[in-house]
Amino acid sequence: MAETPSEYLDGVAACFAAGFQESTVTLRDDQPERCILEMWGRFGDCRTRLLEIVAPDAPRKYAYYALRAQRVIAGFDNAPDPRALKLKHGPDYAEHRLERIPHRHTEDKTGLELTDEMTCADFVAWVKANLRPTP
Amino acid sequence: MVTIQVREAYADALEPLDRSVDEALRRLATERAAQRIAELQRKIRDWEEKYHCRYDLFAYRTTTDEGFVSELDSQPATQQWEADLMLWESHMQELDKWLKRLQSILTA
Repeated sequence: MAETPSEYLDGVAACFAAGFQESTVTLRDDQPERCILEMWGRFGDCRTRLLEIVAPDAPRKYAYYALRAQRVIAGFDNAPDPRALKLKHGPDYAEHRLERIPHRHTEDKTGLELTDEMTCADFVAWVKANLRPTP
Repeated sequence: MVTIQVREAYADALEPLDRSVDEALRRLATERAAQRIAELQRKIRDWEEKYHCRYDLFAYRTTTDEGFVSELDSQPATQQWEADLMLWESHMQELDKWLKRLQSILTA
């Protein structure tokens, strides 16, 4: 039997909790039309944030951030950001205005590059491989 | 129609189920809907204050206006706008659902 959105988010929560210290669920709201999970955690001196919204009949939405103080040092999401749309579709990007595009924001959100669709496990792996866990 | 289970102690007192019970349930449902609508409107107002615009405009600009998203990305307070947009959208959809629900209670 296929996994329900709620079961999927249970797995995401377990993955995030296993990947980061001091993980806390700050929002969990399961309704028939969509389920939401927001969590915060810590990796060394970085705070990490996850937000996922899953609906039975719509593409999954996600945003994962690693933050130092108040600044984003890495961000992964699939919002239809016009810069990501332009990278993927070129000059005709406006025709794809509502298409969700997986991408990564570089440190302090000064750059953007396209990525594959990310999961919580991918985010945890990326943080561990790329950020130094200073106490 | 759906079946609602109530404690036996209450059920005995409610028999026979007449218009007053229906009216009490209608009042409770209206009150619940109004509370949730007020809560969602408060959350939506917070987003509007943070981003100085309504949801529709924000959703439009964040998919079409590179200058606007670059400006959001340049400020720590708005760097996580993608997550805010997701929550804001879900609040708007939920508000719409509860307004319809309230409308259907009031016209039932």
